[in-house]
This record gives sequence, C-alpha cells and structure tokens, in this order.
Amino acid sequence: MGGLSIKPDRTILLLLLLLSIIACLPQRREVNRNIRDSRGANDGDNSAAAAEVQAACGLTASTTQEPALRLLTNRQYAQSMRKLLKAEGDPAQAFPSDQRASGFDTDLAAHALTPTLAQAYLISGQKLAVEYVASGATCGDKNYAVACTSAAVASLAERAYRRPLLDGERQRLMALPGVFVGGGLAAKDAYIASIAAVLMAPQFLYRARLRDQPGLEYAAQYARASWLSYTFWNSMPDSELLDMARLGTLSSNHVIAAQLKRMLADDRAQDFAEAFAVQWLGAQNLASMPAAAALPPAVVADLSAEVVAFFGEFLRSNLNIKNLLDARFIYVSGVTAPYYGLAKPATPQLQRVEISSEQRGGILTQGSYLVQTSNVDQPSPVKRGKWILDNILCQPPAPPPADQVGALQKGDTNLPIRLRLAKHREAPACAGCHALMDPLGLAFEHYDQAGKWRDQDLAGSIDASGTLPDGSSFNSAAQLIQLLKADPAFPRCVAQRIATFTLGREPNDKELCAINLVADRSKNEAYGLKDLLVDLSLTLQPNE
Amino acid sequence: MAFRSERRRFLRGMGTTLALPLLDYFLPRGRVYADDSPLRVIYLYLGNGAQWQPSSVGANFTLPSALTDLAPLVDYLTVVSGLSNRPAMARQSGDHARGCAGFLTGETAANPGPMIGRSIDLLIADQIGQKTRYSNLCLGGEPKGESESGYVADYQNHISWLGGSSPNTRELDPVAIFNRMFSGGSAEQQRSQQGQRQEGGKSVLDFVRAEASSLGAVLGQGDKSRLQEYLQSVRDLEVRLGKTGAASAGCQSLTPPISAAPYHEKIGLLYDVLYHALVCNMTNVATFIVASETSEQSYDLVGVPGSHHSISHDASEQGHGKIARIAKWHIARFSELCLRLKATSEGSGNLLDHSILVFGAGIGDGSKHDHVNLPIAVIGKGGGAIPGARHLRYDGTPLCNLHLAVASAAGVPLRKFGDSTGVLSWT
Repeated sequence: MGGLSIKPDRTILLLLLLLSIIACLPQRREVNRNIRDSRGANDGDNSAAAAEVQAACGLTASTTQEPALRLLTNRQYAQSMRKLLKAEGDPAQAFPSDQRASGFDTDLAAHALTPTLAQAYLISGQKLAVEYVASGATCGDKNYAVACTSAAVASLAERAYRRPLLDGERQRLMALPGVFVGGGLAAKDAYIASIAAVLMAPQFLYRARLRDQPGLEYAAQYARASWLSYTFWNSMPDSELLDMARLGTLSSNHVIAAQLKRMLADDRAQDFAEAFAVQWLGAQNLASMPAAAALPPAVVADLSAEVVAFFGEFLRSNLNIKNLLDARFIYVSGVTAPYYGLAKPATPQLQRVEISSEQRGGILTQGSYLVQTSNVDQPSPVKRGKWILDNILCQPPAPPPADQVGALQKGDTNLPIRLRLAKHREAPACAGCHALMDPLGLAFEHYDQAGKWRDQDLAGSIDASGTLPDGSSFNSAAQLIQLLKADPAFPRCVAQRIATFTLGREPNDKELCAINLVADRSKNEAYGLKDLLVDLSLTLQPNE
Repeated sequence: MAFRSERRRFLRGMGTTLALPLLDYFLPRGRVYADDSPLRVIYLYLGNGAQWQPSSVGANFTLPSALTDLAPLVDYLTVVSGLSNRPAMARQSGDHARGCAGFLTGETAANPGPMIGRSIDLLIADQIGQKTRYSNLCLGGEPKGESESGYVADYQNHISWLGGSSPNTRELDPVAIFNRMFSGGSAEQQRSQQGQRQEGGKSVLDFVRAEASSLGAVLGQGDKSRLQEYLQSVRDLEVRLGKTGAASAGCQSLTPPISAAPYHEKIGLLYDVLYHALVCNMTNVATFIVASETSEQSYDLVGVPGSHHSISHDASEQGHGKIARIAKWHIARFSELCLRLKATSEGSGNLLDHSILVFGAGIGDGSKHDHVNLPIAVIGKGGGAIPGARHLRYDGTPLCNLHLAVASAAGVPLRKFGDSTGVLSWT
C-alpha cells in the first residue's frame, strides 16, 4: 500500500524532468528526432523518419528535378558491360577520362555526350560485340541464322535496357540482323553489328524515366531499380530488383529501405565507396600532384588505395562518419607501413592495422590529403586549410581580392612559414578568410610535403598550435581534429557531398535542409554510414 | 552585337548543347589559299603566363630567349605583341580561370560557371572540320588544375568550349588517342579495316537514331535536352565515319606510343599524336593546353625546380628568368612539331605553308595576373595569307582581332567575335 503511494510521485518527477529538457530544445522537430535517434540505428523505421524530414523541409516529389535521361558514367558503363557481356578488363579504359575537377563524375551538367565520347562508345561497342560473339556463349546456332540471332539480340537488349522492351523496340531489334544481312553483311557480322547497335542505343547508354505504357506498367519502378543499382553498385539492377519492378512491389518506402539495406550489405556496394571516396577526398589524381613526384609510384598508388579501403571499411562495418576524422585504425601495405613509420606487415597487400600513436588516424593524417595539399618542395598551410574548409566543413572561403592574389609570394621568402602567413592578417582584405584557413593548415606542419612526420622544419622547431575564430584553441593536429569532429558541420558536410554525388547536382535549399537533419543523427554513435545512406536515399527520393 | 549576345544567353538558358546556328556570323565563304590543300588551325596554350616580346618591330628582330628554338622557322614566324584580352579582366580574383577560358572565347567566364560561349577553334572546325574524320582534336597535358576563387576548375583546364556549360572533351592519354585513331596494323591495313568498320558503324548509327526518336516519344517529365545532345553527337560521328582522306607521306610509318609517361615526356608524346593526326588528315583543327592554369609542374630538367604557379608569382628579374626558361622548354617542344610539319611536303609546298599554329598564353605577366601584352607566336603561312618573318606590335588591340584574322585565313570570315574591333593585319 505504502509502495503504491510513492510510484505516482516518481512518475511526476520524471515527467517534469522530461518537460524541462523539451523546453531547452529549439523546436519540436528536434525532439522527435532525438527520440528517434535514441532508439538506435536499426529500429527499422527509416521510412517514417524520412517522411518526417520531408515534411519539415517541404520536400515533395515535385521539388526534385530528376532529369528524363542520365548518361552512364564511364565506371557504370564498364560495370554494366561486365555484367551484361561478362566483359573482361576495363571496357571504358580508352574513353576520354578527363575528370572534371569541379565535382563528381556523376555531375549531370558536366558528363555530356560529346562526339569524341560517342565515337569511343561506338568503337568499344564493336570490340565488345566481337568478343562476346567469339566467346560462343550466345546464339546456339553456329550458322548464325537470322531466326536465332534476332531472338538473341532482343533478349540481350531487354537486359541492356533494364526493363521490358516496348512493342516497337522489340520489332526493330528482331528485324535488325536481317537488315544488316540485307545490307551485305555476313550472318555472323550482322549479329555482331546488331549487338554493337544495342550497346550504342540511347536506351542502354542513358538511364531513362519513361511514362507508363502498354507493356511497361511500372515504368517509375524500373527507373527506381536502376537508380538504386547504379547509385550503390555502379552496375545494372539484379534480378531481385527487376522482379520487384515487374510485379509493382518496389514502391513503398519500407520495401525500398529493405532493398537499400540488402544492397549496402552486398560487396558490390564497395564500388560506391570507391567511386565516392576517391572523388570526395581527391585521391584519384594523387600521382599527378607536384609533391607526389618525390615518392615511389608504388607508395603513391597505395596511398590512393588506402583512402578507398578506409572509407570502404566505414560502409562495410556501418561505422559512424564522425570517426572518419580520428579512427584508431589505418590501412597500410608493405610499402606504406614504413612510410607511416609502422612495422611492415607480414603480407604486402593493403590491410587494416590498429594504431595507438596520435600522429596518425583519420583522413587528415593520411598521405593522400597531406600530399595533395603540398607544393613540390614544402607543405602549403593555406592549401591545407582551404581543403578542410572546402571538403570537411563545406564552408569554402570567399575568393581573395584581385590585387591581393599571391601577394605573399612577393614577400620575404626567408621568414619562417608562420611569420610569413601572419602577414595575411595584416592586410584587412585578407584577414577574414586567412584567420580561418591559416591556423587550420598550420596545425599540420608536422607533416612534410610528402606527408611524412617531421619533428622540425628547415627553420627549426614546429609550432602546431592555433586558435580558431570562435576562440577555441589547440596545440596539435590531433587536438584540432577533435574540434572538427565535435562540429556538426562535419557530418553535414559529408552528407552534402554524398547527396551531391548521388543526385548528380548541388542540392537545392529544401534538400539541403533535409540532408542536414539526416546528418545530425550522426550525433548518435551507433548511427553508421549505412544508416545515413539509407536515410538520405529515402529522404531525397520522395515517392510520387 | 547586343542582339547576338542576348540570343546566345537565350539558347544557353534553354540548356541546349547544340552548336549555335552560325549563319549570321558568316559572310560568304571564300578560300584565301592558292592550291587545294586544306588549311590547319592549331592553338596551343601555356598556363601561368609568359613574356617574350622582341625589342624591335618589323622584319628584322632578335628572338627573345624563350623563342630561340624557333630560329630555323623564322620565315614562318610571326610574333604578335601587345594584344589584350579585355573580357578576362575584372575587379576580382580568378585571373587564371578567366584568362584561360576567355582565351579562345573572347567572353567573360561566368562565376562560378561553367558557362561561356563557343570558342574560335570550334567555330572554325564547324566549317573546315567537316572535311576530316575528326572535326577537331582537343588535347591536354595535365589531368586537372585547382578551382580558383569560386570559379569551377574546368575554366583552368580548357581553352576549347562547346558553348554553354560544356568544355570540349580533352584527351590526355597519348596511347588511348593513338589507339582510337590508328588501331593496329600498317596504315594501309588500318584504312581497309576502318573502311569495313565504317560500313558497320553507319548502319549502327542509322538504327540508334531511330531508337532515339522513339525514345523521345515515351520519355516522362524532366529535362530532355540530353536527347538532342545524343542526336547531335551521332550526327557528328556519322560525318567522322564518312571521311577517310588521302594521307600525306609521313602517315606511312606510324610508331605508336608505348605508355603514358610522366608529364614532360607525355607532352612530347602528345605532340607526336598531334603530328600524326595532321599528316594522316585525321583532323584540320586542334587545341592543346600544354600546361593548365595554376599548373604546379616542376621543371628540374631546365634547372627550374619548384611549382610553376608559385614561380610565376615571383616578380623579380630572377623569377621572370625562370618563367622564360619554362616557356623556352615548351617552345622547343612546339618547334619540334613545326619542323616536322615543315619537312612534310604537300601540294606546291609543305604542311606549314597550309597551317596556322598559334602558341600563346592568356596571362601576360604572371606576377601581375594581367591580360595585356599577351605572348603570342604564330607559325605558318596560312595558305599564303601570312607573310611571316615579322614582329607585329598591336598595343591594346583585342586578342579577338587575331582570332578574326586566323578564321579569315582559314576561309571562315567572321564579322565579329568577342570584343573584336576588326581583323588584325598580318603585316
């Protein structure tokens, strides 16, 4: 009896405590989110969370501007050929591979079909068709009779187009070998030319959003199957995705979430990790960076591969993206372990090694970042600081005034770097941005232009301390990294870069609002990269 | 002029990637050169600026140190000094971006971009490029430069622009280009193989054009301009496939490059591929950005270690000397190409008689980031339009006047381009 009289008091106390917490929080939306976060990452309620963010940010199907056609990237073309034709090697190797430095290879505006690329497609398609037919794994008829090859061409096209063929398409494809034979080609050559034609068709080269038609009842779901597979596997949808589109079941967010989880658990998702990480972290052109020339090519190659393996681990093990900055493990090979001052592993290939030293751990202590932000003969604190603002915080600094560009280079080159950079802050026009950039970069002065640790530079002992504009100070790169890790701008920035990569364009304001809300869930340590990718995808692809 | 630029903006706004309808840009076409040999127009671009103004003007001038390797070609050499690229000037930073993107477009690069007009090389290729398999060749020596001052990085890596938001596709790998142009076998075998491939290729293109049309009818909501882009590329490809062209003597023995080498060797290999493309009549128009803007290559091999870009900021005499040594190295590679072209006979003369090669930079003094007194060296007689052996000085004249003069010599007389005020005289 007495026990019963106490219980209500306790409940009231707990309620009062909860109300006081809620009162401190800025918005009701935040409360909901925090409650959801506390339930952990695998609560299976991704779709409700997505709907909530969409409502909060005003995101609807009509606010997304998905283009009608999206050209496959070179990587997606190559993966598609491997799946479709069992092609070996890199089918896109001879393609013009001019990486657009402005963003990602998925960039819709940048990745345009120029005549040069069209010719590369044609030549590649012809070559692949010859090899495919030579492999014998195709039309059973050794004489390549038109009756046999017609059906084989249509069947190949159905897989290549990633959806059922429309009636007109099927008729034209079935007629194609006959047309070539009529034009004077031998039966086998006509078959080869027909396959080359399929590989050059816009239905294959572009992911298209079609309207529903007779024979294609769930056009939007087929488009979704391709969206999912090309985004996270860089390849064609598998039979499971296509079957769901055929049955019309790839529609609810619950189902899509389940598919996303299945796909991200698959090894093929490592291709997403690679494509995104090398471009986000600038590792794909490391060999052409000025400071890389002083390193053995094998080291440079493995520093590049390290970035991929490191980010891949975050996806595979669903690690929280905040730890990208200070993970207590590192990927090294037989040649990069000595580079990092670590013991050579027993086997030469790239492998995970746990570390204890504060000198390494996380992307800002990796050779890739340190080398690409260096000049040929010395590290560049300005570049290192700017890189952090650009890629870690997504707060690119304003451009310098025209008459001040490079003003510093004209100064006394004998001064220690810290004193030279101090001149930035004497010029009022420069002070604003450099007060932020320079301390960030100077924190990494213990890493030379090759990314190796040094206790001293040419001028003597190194001072890696600094103060940020908000007053927080640090004594080492490791301490700065902890400040960056605590900044909500970092997970938001990672999410923004992922979204830019998957959308193929800069997110609009409503999308940015949604991306930030999703990224904020990373406050919860259990919220991993997979969770983030599932939530971002569901949130940014409103269901019509 | 005002009307034209408005129309350009309108077309860009439509997101079209088609070539501008050029009719009103052109006067009736006429050939300047005497014999039937085609004319070649090549633009080469050196990032980070340079200076090579001879001290005296006219026929008797002393070659400045950067240009001494052009001595054996002096009869074909026209040094043009004093030209300005006004559209690249602005009261804000980003001179590398604007200088490079504006070099052949005569327009101000939009910030952040990319958004800029069609470049002069492609306007010329639109007319004379139809005679060869490749309407133009677009080469680059370096994979990427950094973005600058809020501008997209593309501006610093591309001088050739399709108009709108797309730069021309640069090709960086000499092996890949060579294999695409001359895949295996002797020159004769290649031509016969290519003949067969072309027949197949054309039929393939007939099919895919029909597929593109049918696709257009069933597309859902969203931007459909990509389909236009596809059709345009297929059309251009068809033209390429239709051209074989008689090859010059130099086309008989081709040595394919073996590997994509480090930067300085690769420049030589790319010049090699360019030479082969010209003597085999694969193309008549080309651009080659030998060093991107803000390039950080080190030139240890001529005693100039360190970042090219950083060195360009050194305003001291010593700094200018280093930039001259870097320019000299590039001019030496350029002169090797020119000498090979001169040694290739064609018609009543040699290939240089029927070529215009413009080697220049979009920045004059790198330490000032300016766009005045641009360094320009023109090699070739342009089919008789260019007398050569001269140093011309045109202080303050728009660079676009030179573009008009080159286009006119190529049989593509434009009335106006960029900020042009008239056609530059070659004498």
